[in-house]
Amino acid sequence: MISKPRRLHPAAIIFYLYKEFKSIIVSLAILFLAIFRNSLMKIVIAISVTAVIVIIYCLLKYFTFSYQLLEHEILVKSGVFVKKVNHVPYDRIQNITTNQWFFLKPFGLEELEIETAGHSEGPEVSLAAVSVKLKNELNMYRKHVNTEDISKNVSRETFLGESYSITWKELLKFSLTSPAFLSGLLVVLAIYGKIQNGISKQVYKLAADEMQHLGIFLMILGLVIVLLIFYVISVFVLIAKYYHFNLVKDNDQFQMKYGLFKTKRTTISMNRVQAVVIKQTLLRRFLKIASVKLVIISNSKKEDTEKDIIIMPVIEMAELDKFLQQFFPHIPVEKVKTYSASKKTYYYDLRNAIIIGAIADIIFAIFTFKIVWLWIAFIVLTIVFVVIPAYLKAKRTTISVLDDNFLYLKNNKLFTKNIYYIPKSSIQLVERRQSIWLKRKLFAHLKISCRSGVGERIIIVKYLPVKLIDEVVRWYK
Amino acid sequence: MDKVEKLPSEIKTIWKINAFFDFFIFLIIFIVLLFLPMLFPTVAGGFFKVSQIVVGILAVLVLVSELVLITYRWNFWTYYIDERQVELHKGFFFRKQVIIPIARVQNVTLKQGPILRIKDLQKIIIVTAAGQSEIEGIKSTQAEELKEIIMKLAQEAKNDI
Repeated sequence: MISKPRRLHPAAIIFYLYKEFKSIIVSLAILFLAIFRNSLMKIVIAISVTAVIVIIYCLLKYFTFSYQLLEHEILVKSGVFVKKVNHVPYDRIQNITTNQWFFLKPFGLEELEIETAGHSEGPEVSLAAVSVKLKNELNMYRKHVNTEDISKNVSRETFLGESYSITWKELLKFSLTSPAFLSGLLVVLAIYGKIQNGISKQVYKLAADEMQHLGIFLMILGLVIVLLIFYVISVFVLIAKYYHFNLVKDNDQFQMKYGLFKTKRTTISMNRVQAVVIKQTLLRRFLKIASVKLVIISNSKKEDTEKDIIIMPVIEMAELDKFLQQFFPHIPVEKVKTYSASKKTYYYDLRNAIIIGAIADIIFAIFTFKIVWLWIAFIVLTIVFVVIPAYLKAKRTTISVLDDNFLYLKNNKLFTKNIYYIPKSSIQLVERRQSIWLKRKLFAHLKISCRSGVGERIIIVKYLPVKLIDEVVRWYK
Repeated sequence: MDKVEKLPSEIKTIWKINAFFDFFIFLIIFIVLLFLPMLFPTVAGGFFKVSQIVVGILAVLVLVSELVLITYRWNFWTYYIDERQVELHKGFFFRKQVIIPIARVQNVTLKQGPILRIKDLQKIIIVTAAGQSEIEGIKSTQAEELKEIIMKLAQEAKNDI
């Protein structure tokens, strides 16, 4: 079972070109404008020369790239100047992701990425354009290797054909309540800040004069329209991204498939899953929907929460327990007991929030005491972003032991509720914190550390009755 | 090893040296600040005066608080190792209790800098897959023993799974 060395489909050249141009286009444009400000001819020549160089480079890259499926490993040769030979054993493969643009569907092509547990940045192997059959072929090789394992390990459980798809209604609710447009707006503002230096002062002044004529109401209207445009764009992007989201559980793997223009298929092996997280923002709470994510070990170096893998972007709360039972039969969901937080917890959280908020307010007011509306606005901001989250935190924070293997933990981040189901085996250490004053009041904090991405995820619950904390500590010992 | 143990009392000397070391760093910054106005005569002198005073006060505060807290730190820094877990306890007013199951220990690192070498102590770093915890310094012979025990227990724990 050894295949010949193969090249990618020639369509890969187009992808290489696209990527190369995308990565250099901004810097090149700036460079050209700076050097040849007045000669159009020179710009045209410079652009065509770079284009030729890039095309030649991409062709070379294409013709030096080959892959081969061997019996126990996949062999990838690449590199124009520096030759690189990469051996990836099948049993070390952790995730396989395929991306398929809609225009590639008729040709039966897709991009295939292989991730291992190694510490390289991004996927270990990336095949820009290959036949859709390759994934099955690859899986066959992997299974062949795995069956040798399984024969030793007979008791391995198998689950077949569990499947779940999201409905249109859920997808709409999800997209409409996503705050993603705000972050998009921030990016645009940041770019604007950079461009601003480049815009000549005259243009700027002209625009400012124009603005003054328009008056404040029109400006606010303009702002609202811009926000609205961003919102609509983000809704469409999200719908296109998570269109027809489908999750299938097969043996020890989760398979996800989603996307309108770019169909993405991801496989995750179960043994990388460290914990299950259910996230719910305040707005989505009113609509009774939540997202399910997985904390996994991966190559991702992204920020804490971004590297969690979404396995279900949106699900009705009523369906949630059923969903968890279907896909995570080990988690004893039915044993979750909810009880309201103790009054003391509210007291401690609110006390801290009010003290911190008040100090910030006072400092801010000292600097801006002349502009009344500014510091009043600041006080309102601290109430919204410090005191209210503290209240939610007190209300939501709980921890309890479900059974020998699973811990249930609920906490709050700003306005988002996070529910964690953590298996004992993935907790790396626990840290119990308690000041002498809290000891007298029989309260304590707990810090739990898990693996996530290439690093560590720290989950903290604060100001809980010592009885609950100690139960967890005993369970963990 | 089945009992709660304190760090060796020699660690107090190390902490003392460290405290003076920190003080020394502040002192250097302070001296640099003394000479800066000569280099930049155009900048108003007030700014340098204020920063000199702040750094000076900080230096003394850090030195005094570190020296005063040594006994407190030593008295309430304990560790406990049995066949299931490593436990570290810190602090009296703010108590911290870290529990690392032996089965989660990936490796144990012994580290000895020039200051620790004077007193023949070793720093022990217990590494898990997610992060690491430290025992700041114990006698070299004891450290070797401890390392052996943790590694042996870790291997046995792995075999259980």
